[in-house]
Order: sequence, then C-alpha cells, then structure tokens
Amino acid sequence: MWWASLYNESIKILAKPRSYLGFLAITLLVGVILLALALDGESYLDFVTGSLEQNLMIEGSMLNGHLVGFIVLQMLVVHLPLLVALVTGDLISGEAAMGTLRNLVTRPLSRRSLLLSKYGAAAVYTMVLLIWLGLMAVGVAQWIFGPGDLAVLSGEGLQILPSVEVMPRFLQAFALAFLALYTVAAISVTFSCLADNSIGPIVGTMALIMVFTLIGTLDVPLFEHVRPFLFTTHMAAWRSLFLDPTPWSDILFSIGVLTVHCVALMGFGLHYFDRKDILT
Amino acid sequence: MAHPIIEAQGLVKAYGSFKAVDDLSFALKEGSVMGFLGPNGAGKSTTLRMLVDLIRPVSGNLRLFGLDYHRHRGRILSRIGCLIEKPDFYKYLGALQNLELLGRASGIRQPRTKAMEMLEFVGLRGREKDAVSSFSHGMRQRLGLAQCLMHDPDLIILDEPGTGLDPQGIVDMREMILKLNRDQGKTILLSSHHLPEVEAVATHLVVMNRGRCLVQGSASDLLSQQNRQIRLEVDQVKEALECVSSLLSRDQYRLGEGGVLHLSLSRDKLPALIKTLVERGIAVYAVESRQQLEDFYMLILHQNNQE
Repeated sequence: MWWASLYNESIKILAKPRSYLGFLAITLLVGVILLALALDGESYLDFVTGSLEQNLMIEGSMLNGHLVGFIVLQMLVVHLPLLVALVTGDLISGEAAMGTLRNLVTRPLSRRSLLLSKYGAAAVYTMVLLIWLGLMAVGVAQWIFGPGDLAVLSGEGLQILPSVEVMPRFLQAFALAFLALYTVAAISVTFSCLADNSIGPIVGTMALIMVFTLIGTLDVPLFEHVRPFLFTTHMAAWRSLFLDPTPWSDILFSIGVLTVHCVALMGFGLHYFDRKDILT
Repeated sequence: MAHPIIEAQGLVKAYGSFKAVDDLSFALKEGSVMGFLGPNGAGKSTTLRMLVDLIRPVSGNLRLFGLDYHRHRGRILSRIGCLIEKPDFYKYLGALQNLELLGRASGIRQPRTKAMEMLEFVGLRGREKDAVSSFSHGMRQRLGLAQCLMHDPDLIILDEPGTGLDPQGIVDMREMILKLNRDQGKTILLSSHHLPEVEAVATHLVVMNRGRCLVQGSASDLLSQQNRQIRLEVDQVKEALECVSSLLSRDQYRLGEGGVLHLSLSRDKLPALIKTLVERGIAVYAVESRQQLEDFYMLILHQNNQE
C-alpha cells in the first residue's frame, strides 16, 4: 500500500504546474551563468585569482567544464531550498486547503504510511531536481567547455584536483547536497502537517533557514555552542569534498547532524499527523 | 437478525470548553438507511467525521462492524465509503485519474477497471478524461459518490449528498441511494437538511441538537407516535371551529387561508371528530391527513429548545 501511495504522490507532483517551476528556474539560471562564463569567463577568473598572481604564475586556462560546474553549484545550491520548499511545503497543507486530504485519510492506508509516502515523494522530487541541476551544471558545462583539472580556492590556498578525480567527487558532493536539501524538504513537509494553507509551510521553512543562517553567521558567544548543531551550518558541507585531503571527520559530523534533523522532523511529523483532527 | 454496524456509546468531542458532541450514543443496524438530522451546529458533521476517523473523540466508545478503531482502523475503513461535506478532488487531474488514485489508496488491484465501472454507475462515462475543474457541482457530487463506492464498502456515509443538485439530480441521487440499499444491501447513513429526501429513503432516524441525540429509532415507529396534521374543508367554518375548539386544545387547531381548518391530533381521534361535525349538520368536503418528517422534526426541535 505504501508503494501505491508513493506512486499516487508522484503522479500528483507530476501533474502540478508548480512542480516544473524549479526545473525552469534552474534551466534559466544555469543558462545565464553558462552564457556569462562562455562570453567573459576569463575576466571573471582574473578577478577571482587576481590576489594569487603576485605569488603564482598560471599558464594556460583554468576555465573548463569542471570549474564551471563547480561555480554554478556554488551559486545555485543556496537557491534550491526555496524551490524544494515550494513543492514539498504543499504536500499536506495543499491537500487540506483543497479538501482532498479527507479522501485520503478515510482510506484504509494508515496515516503514518500516508505521511511516509509524502516524505518519500519529497525525497524523489528533491533527488530529481538535484539530478537536473547536475546535468545542467556539470553535464552541459563539460559539453561547452570540455573537461580539465579543477582549481579550487580554499582557506589554505589554491588546490588543483586532477581531472580524473573530479567526477567521483561531484557524485559524492551531490549525495551530500541531497541530504542537506532533503533536510529542508523534511522541514517543509513537517510544517505542512501543521498548516491548512499552502503558503504557511513554504514561508515558515524559508524563515527558519534565514533565522538559523543568521544565528550561524552572528559572531555572538552565546551562539557558538549552538552553531555546529544547526542544519544551516552544514548546508554547504558538500564543498569540503573538493578539498585535498578530504576532511572526512567534518563531513561525517555534517552527515550526522543533517540525518538527526531529518529523523527528528519526520518523527515529530508522524506523531503529530497521526493524532491530528482533520477539520478541512 | 441484523447486526449493528455502528455502535456509539457516550461519544464526546470538545474544542476547548465547547462540546461539539456531548455524550452521544446511537446504533445503526445492517441493511438500514439512517437519516441523520439536526440543525446547523448540532454536531452531525463532527459525528460523521468521528465515524471515519477524521477526528477522534475525547471520550466514549466507538465500534464499527464489531471492531475497535484503535486496533482495526484499516479493516474498518476498508468497509466504509464516505462523502463528507462537499466532494473535493484534484482539479488538475481527470475524473478517471482521480478515481484511480483513490482506488490505489484503497488497495484496489485494478483501479482503472473499477473506476470505469463506477463512472458508468454514476452516469459520468464519456467524461472520464475531462479535468474535474470543468465539472458542474452536480457532476462532482456524482463523482463523489463514485469515489465512495470504489472499494465496494458495506457502510456508506453521505453528508448532504443533495446539496447544490437540481431537482432531477436530487431524484437521481435518491434513486441511487435506494438502489444501493435495496439491490446491493448497503447500509447507509445519510445526513441531510433536505427532509423530503431523507423521508423518502430512511428506515431509521437520529435527530441531534446541541451535540446530543434527541430521538432515535425506526422511522415508522417515531413518526406514528406523533399527532397527524389534518387539513379539513367544511361548509360552515364558524360552527366547525366552535365544535373543534370544544374537543381540542388551542394549540391543536388553527384557521388557515380559504376557511381551511388545520388540526393536529392522533389518528384514532379523527373518526370521532368527523362524526361530531356531521351530527351537528356540518358538511365535510375534504379530509387530508399527513404525517411528514418535517412536522416531526420541527416538533422535536421545538420541544428541545424550550427545555
């Protein structure tokens, strides 16, 4: 029954026009960035590496598909939570607002299975959105600019990753980015259980991200102990996978924090939804 | 002997200090059609929502098909079809897709075949691919009935199924309800403000007000206990009125338009009254006796509101 419910949820997401907004937005944004880098990418790189040129002489061009893909990801991953919340925040509350939640809850499928299928559908949507971003950012960039070594600026300076090592790191980075974005999806689906309108969970999710990001960036001693445990602190942990040597202990900690967030949110959502009076 | 399909004992549902349903007990037997009546805010919809686990009672005991909701929720809901309030569907999907989706959620193995069968039953065959957003209210109501019947339930709960339907739609809905009950043996719980619709199909009645059950029982028993409404046409209205006033109390008669007397009295007292009128030389042109659910319902509510 759970699979049938997951299938139903996927059909609904596919049929809703708003589901395609994310794909459209990614296509447009990536298109604009690729066009800009294709036309004037060298100037952009000169600007970024300008401070290094006093100590370092760079021969040839660093501009290649891998670097462009990395730049695109850095620019866009921060926008993805909104696109994810736009669809996943509507999964329960949208049904409540439409009145269709009554039809679903009065079926033999348990409320927990129903909600788990919503969390499952949110995972599928987040995954597909990320795959699309990956195809656009890395795939199309490679097609236009060709492969090459990846130059990454880190706190310790400029690191060059050989071309053959880059693609496995992209795959790992996408897996970690998925976990970070799924945490956002879990928040918005859980908020969606609490509300009976579509807008509330989407705005609530974005507000929470903003508040946590603010706490994470404010240099206040009070927040120092909290900061490592906020999911927003680990949203960009995927970038560490391009460092050499890879800081695996930091990455494992990030995976732990994000997983605990997901499990706790889903646990709360299941507990709440199982007892909720459906009044719409 | 018919088994009870619904057994509700002392159900209470409160929102803060307000009790939407207060110590409600009733039973519904297999194969019957129960009319669930009451004014707005009586607690009918809250009760119906409790029956399909949309909301949970704060206290009381609710058993359906002899099973407890806490342990057998899935088994109970697999035997109930319901149309609560208005029929809502995914407007961006077609009628067939909507039914297929709900069929899958009910565990039906071949939802498309069953959905087409149901669309045929409710007269929507040929419109299966049209988006629900293009449907009229009556068509959505029919689709609501189709989704309710998708998994061949034993108990059908209908909340205001006639709302927004034109006269032909109301007749069709009534015919469908009767067909489901008589031909397929479905037990039906029908909540409606449209009393003639309920009167035409109900074998049992429950009347609620302020969250409580005022009366319940067989429709024929309940209605026969009440005074009948008599419409009397005579030639000497003044004399007839004097005669009636000597036999009945003031609240049992009134003079209507065109000199027609309206009386409220039990069936067994009517022959004696007619005899007296005739003996006094008053010609009786017409006697119309009726026992309507509406009269019964209004009387019950009137009595309850005066308490």
